[in-house]
Amino acid sequence: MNDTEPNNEPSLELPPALARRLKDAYGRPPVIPAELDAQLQGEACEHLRRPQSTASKRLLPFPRWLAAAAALVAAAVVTWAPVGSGRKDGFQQADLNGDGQIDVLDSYQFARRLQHGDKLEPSLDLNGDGVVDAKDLEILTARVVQLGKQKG
Amino acid sequence: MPTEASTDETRSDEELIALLNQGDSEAFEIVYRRHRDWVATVALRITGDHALALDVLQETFLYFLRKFPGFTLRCQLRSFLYPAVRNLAIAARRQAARLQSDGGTFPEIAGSGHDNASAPDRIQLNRVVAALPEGQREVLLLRFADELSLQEIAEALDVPLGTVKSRLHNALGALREAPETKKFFDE
Repeated sequence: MNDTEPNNEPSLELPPALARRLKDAYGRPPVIPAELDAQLQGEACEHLRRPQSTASKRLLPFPRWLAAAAALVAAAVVTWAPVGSGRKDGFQQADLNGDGQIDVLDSYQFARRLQHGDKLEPSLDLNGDGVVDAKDLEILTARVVQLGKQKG
Repeated sequence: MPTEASTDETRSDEELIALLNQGDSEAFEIVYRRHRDWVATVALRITGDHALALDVLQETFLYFLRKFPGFTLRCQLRSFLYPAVRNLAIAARRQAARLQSDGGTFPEIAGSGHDNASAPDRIQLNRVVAALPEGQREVLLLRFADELSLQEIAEALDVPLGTVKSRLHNALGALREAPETKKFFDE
């Protein structure tokens, strides 16, 4: 693909026989059942048929029950939190790419920053153990995957 | 699912996404068919498990679908999809590993296992590829197994083009030196 692009340099090419071996070994898809195709097409029809305003509501990053739960938690924090406690829910601070949604891309961004040793906001200490590390990444990833399933 | 009469394979991803933003489900069908096998391939490579790969395929396209309406594509579609596939596949692999009673681990990277090479050849190649640092291996396979351009890889990994070239250069150097793959460069 795109072999004529100037950024694909000859010095970065493999001998054709080896390239074929790699393609054979790692580039072949698994068998995909027709039921899965049909199911996804059905999901697409249903999702795309919705009026845009309704669809937009469903695309909000949090489902309604979670918003209600968040409101309860917020109320509890306001009521019972010690004076001076400024801690925010780290999950809500996890929109790392700033696109208004908390999803797998934020999780990916988190992983990249961790991998590169970048400084991460203390609010991302999701398990509250005092450090922002791979355990917090796991929590975030589990949450976004879970949210994705609920929205799906 | 596919119906030849209803599809227009000549349309670009950008055109199809514009149609998807208007609620055209046939456009989804074309996009899905165009990228389905690649998504499943990457997912299988990372999870090493057929069923998990299919789960990841499904989750990836549901994630993509939820972007509509109002989605703007700012790079090649595969570059956009790759982080989602990778992340979902890693999460699925970890979750499955936790559920395994024996605590067994998945291979770091998995081949499809149904290629034409003989088993010893495949094992040798797997050994060399598996020994590469993760970043180099990822770039190597995106380039030669998935046939992404260097620019697409840079966008998919969110790294500068120079980094992609450097990783690929180093990966090729390692293959050139490895006894199992050296012969290909001597031919």
